[in-house]
Formats: sequence, C-alpha cells, structure tokens
Amino acid sequence: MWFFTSGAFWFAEGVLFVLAMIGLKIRMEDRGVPMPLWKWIAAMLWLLLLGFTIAFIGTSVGENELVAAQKGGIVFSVICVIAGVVVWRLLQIGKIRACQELADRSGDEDESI
Amino acid sequence: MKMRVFERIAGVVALIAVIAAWIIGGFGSQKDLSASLKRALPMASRFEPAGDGIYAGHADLLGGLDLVVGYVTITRTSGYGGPMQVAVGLNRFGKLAGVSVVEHKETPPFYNRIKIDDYIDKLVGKPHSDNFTPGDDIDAVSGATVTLTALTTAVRRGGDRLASEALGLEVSRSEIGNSHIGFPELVLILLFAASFLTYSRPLGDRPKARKIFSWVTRLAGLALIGFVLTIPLSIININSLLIGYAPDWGVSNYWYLMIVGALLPLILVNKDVYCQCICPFGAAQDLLKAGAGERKFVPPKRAVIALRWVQRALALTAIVTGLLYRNPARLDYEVFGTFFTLTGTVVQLALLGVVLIASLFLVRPWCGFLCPLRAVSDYVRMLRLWGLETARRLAAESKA
Repeated sequence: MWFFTSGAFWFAEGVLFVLAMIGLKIRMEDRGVPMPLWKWIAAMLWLLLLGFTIAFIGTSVGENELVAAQKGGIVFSVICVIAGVVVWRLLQIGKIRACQELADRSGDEDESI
Repeated sequence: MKMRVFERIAGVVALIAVIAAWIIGGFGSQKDLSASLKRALPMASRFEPAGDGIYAGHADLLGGLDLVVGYVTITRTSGYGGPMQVAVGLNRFGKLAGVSVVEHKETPPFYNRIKIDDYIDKLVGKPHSDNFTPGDDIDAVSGATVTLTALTTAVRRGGDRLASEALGLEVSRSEIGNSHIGFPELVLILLFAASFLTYSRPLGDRPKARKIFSWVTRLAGLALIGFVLTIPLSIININSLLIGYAPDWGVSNYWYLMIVGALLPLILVNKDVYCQCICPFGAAQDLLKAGAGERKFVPPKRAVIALRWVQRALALTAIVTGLLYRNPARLDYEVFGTFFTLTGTVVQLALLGVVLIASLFLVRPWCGFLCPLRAVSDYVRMLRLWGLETARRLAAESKA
C-alpha cells in the first residue's frame, strides 16, 4: 500500500503519462496522421476522463462505498469507452489525405528523376 | 418455408400461453385495506363503512366517548403501468389527513423516484380544495411525471368526494380529467406526423432529404420522448393493453396515442414507424453508431436467428409473467428507464453498458437482439401476413 501513498506513485504516473503521449505522437507520425492542437486537446480530455473514472472507482472503494464504486464505475467506464471510440475516430481525420499527399509527392519526385 | 411454418406453430403456442396466463392471473387475491386506511387517517383507531367506498374513522376518547375524526375513501386512477389504488383521508375540517398507496403497477425505479413517504408528508395538512398540481402548488418529480400525476389525481378526486359526500362541503372544482391535449400529446402527434412524412412519396424520391428528415425526427424523439418526458413505448404498455388496464380517456391520452400510433401503421401498412423513426433508445444507438463510424460488424446469420428466438422467448416470458401477476411491470428488463434517468440496479446498469458499447460496432443491438417490442412487432407482422395469405387463398377458392 505504501506505493500508492508515496510520491513514487505520482512519479511513476508522470513517467507513464509522458511515455503514452510520446507513443501517441510517434504512432500518429508513422501512420501519416497530422496532429493539430485540437486533436491533442481531445486526447488530453479523454485521458482526463479516464483518470477521473479510475480515481472515482478507487476513491469509492477506499471510502467503503462499494455500491457507488460499482454503479459509478459502470457508468463512467461506459462513457469512457464510448468517448474513447469517438476520440479515436476524430484522431483519424486527415489520415487519408496525408497519405494521398505523400503518395502524390513521391510520384512527383519519380517524374522529376 | 420451413421457418415460416415453425414461426406460425410457435406463434400459436405463444397465443395459448398468453391466454392461459390471462385466465390464471384473473384469480388474484383481494388486498387487505385496514393498514392502508390507518395510514390515510392515523388518528382513527377503527373504521366503519359510511357509504359507497367511504369509511368513517372513529377514535375512542377518554370516558368511553366515540368521535368520528375523519373519512377515508379508496380512489382508482391510471399510472404508467396500470391502475393505482390510493387511500385518501380527510379530517373533519376538510384537510388532508393522510394518503396511502394501496396498490400500484409502476416500474420500481420510476416509482421510487417519488420517495413516496416524504412526498405524502408534504401533502398532509393541505385543504382538499387545493389543486395538487405537480410543478404548480406541489413539487414535480422529473422522470416520474405519469406516476405522480396518477397519485395527485387520486388525492384530488378522493378529497373532493369525501368533502362533498361525507363532510357536506362545497366542491367548486369541475370534474378532473376532461379530455385535453397537453405538451406530451402534442409532441407525440408531431413526431408521428413527421414519421409518416419520412415514408411519404415526396421524400421517398430524395434519399438525402429523407435521411436528414429521418435524423431530425429520431433526434427529436430522443430529446423529447427520452430525456424530457421519459415516457417511451414499453412492453409495460403492451402488457397493460393485454390485461385490460386501459387508462381513463382524458387523463392518459398519451397512452392511447402511443398505442394507436405504434400499432395501427404496423397492422395496416406493415410500417413500424415508432421503432424506425421515434424510439428514443433506437436513436441513441444510431447516434453511437454514427459517432463510431460507418464500419459495421455483421454477426453470423445463424447467431442472429438464434438470438432473435431468445429475444422472442424473453418477450413472451415478460408478457406471461405480467398477465399472471396482473402487473404489467412485473418482469421489466428494458433498459430505457435506466438510460434516460440513470437510475437502476447494478445489473440494469451493466446490461445498459454492454448494449451501449455494442452499439458502437453493431446496428441497433438492443432492437435486434433484446427489445421485447421488436418481438411484439414481429408477431403482429406474422399474424398480418398469415391473415392476408388466408384471405387471398379463400378469395381464390371462392372464384374457382
């Protein structure tokens, strides 16, 4: 239990958060998906919702409010999954166009050669 | 062909089960009224009949004196699930002494929203001449409008009856329950009209306009019938119809409009306008599907057929149980109420969660595999087709 009450937990969470964000950036770049500011904000808001859901369940269990943990956990988890799918779909916007531009550019380069 | 014969045999078996349940359920037990009378007039120690359905409450005073402290009557009104019997007590000065719900057929999560004991405490002491109108002179409870209206109508009717017949007081109010079209009825009429327009010829030739119009109708249904009124069509309405709990015309015009609007187009022109264009939960599933993208996961055909039969068996169980217990909401497993009010048990919430997440990948999973109303509409369609085929065959035979 000491881990969750100590600063080590927050340190580990911070490290994981940074790794997740870097992972997202690299994955999107690899797939040719542009990531403007609004997409980062959407991803951050979803991450905040995920954190809130986990915190709600954890806090409710900690306070011995098991019914609240169950009911709230189900409600927030469902909202989290739905929001996650919608945000993931939003993140894909611009993907095809970016790939198309890349293909066009490589085509131009071939012609010039 | 084989499947059609099987469907018809199953349909006849279902009909026999429903009729048997209806007959057996008719032998219900009578409710003991003494506890309800005591709650409606707590200061009385015993009750004696004092007219048709009116009881005089007596209190024994010191010295052996006997005093009539008030009167109680049992009033019957129509709730969402069926009739509601309410004991209404007035003291000798024409003020409300107590109210007790003798029997009701409401869905527990909706009924529990009222917090009945606390609500009744607020009514006690008010003069019988008050209007008892939710949202006006007493508090309204969102998500339980029909139930609350049934309760307050019973209080008003009971109070007026006791005031005029037992206490000899003047009742100036006109009879409650005159036929009227209020906001809920207006919403329903407009939505049904819009749904018929979706199927109309001018829009039929323009698929894009039809799609937009259909979305507008569905979203209006979601917002108004789902979140504002919270009274979608439910298996409870079908059970009420089968049991014969038709509410008073005028008080529950909405119920009649909903039943007629949903069933009539299905029987006459084979169009399920409610499910396709109005159903708020159907719209919620469509919205989720649209939000998640147009890629569809199509389950195997055999699994779809098996699940469809499970859906029908569940619907039949809900109807038979409702008829046996003479309670339309006895086995209500629909998740609409949980979705629109976010109240329910852990199991209901979990089922709702599964349905909502499945909606991201499947087209209307609730409607396709669980909704009892879909099973009812399939049954009506099967009967319609059977009837039409029989009529055509008879016509051909008579010609020959």
